[in-house]
Amino acid sequence: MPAGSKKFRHAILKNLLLGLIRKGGAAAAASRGMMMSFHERRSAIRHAADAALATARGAAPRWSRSLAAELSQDRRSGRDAHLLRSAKSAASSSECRSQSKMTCSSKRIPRRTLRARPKSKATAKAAGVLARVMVRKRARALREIVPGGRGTDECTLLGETLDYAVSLKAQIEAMQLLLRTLQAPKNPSGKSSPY
Amino acid sequence: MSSGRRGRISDDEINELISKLQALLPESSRRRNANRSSASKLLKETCSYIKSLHREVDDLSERLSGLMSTMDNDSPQAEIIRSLLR
Repeated sequence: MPAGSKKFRHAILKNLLLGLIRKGGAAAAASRGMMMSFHERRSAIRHAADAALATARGAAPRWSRSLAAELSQDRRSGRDAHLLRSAKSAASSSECRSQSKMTCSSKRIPRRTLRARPKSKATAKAAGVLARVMVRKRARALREIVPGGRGTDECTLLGETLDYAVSLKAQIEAMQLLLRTLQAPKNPSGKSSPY
Repeated sequence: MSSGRRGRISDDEINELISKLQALLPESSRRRNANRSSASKLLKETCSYIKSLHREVDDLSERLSGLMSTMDNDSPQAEIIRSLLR
């Protein structure tokens, strides 16, 4: 299912609902009085949302397969596990990690302060196009946040990033829809249909 | 070191992906990138953008969990959900 379509959004929403009901049913069955901690509940919902997203998108893009794999590895909190692994690999190259921080902060970094890296590896020989040192650093940062990004060349990464970003937007829209529906004035006649 | 120059191979392909990415980014970023769009700057904006999307998903998860906590099988919300899935 293409990432930008309305059907895709609805598919995410449906998967999310199913996932949440399953979780909610389990939790309710366990014990009415005992609630999960706020953090646990939020993680569970985040997990369900990511699972819904990956399932709806299917196996076509690499990030989707990668996300699904991460989620099944760590049932409690897929996103946290992913970040953990990213942090681990980023820590192995400290300049990369600081670069990630800089990339993600709102500060503007004047290009003048770029340290000249003598590390002129054979990137020119690779996919070749985005071979600039600065770009490589940025690409590295991007790899950390796009699921499955770490195994890809820069060209593939661009395409993956595009697809991933569009899909994330759809995920957000689906969740917003759900939120609005749940917040709607209590009208059990089924009037508040999101469609 | 100016990063205005592109690579040598598949310029068209890359240009297409880059313009798609630019189209995706929020308005404000697009203006900044207008002419001197360097691949590196674009990637940085994209990185920030995706991070912000992640934050939004987290925020929505939080709000949903607030609502869901009050939901039990008899509530109107649960009924809404059930009717949606029929």
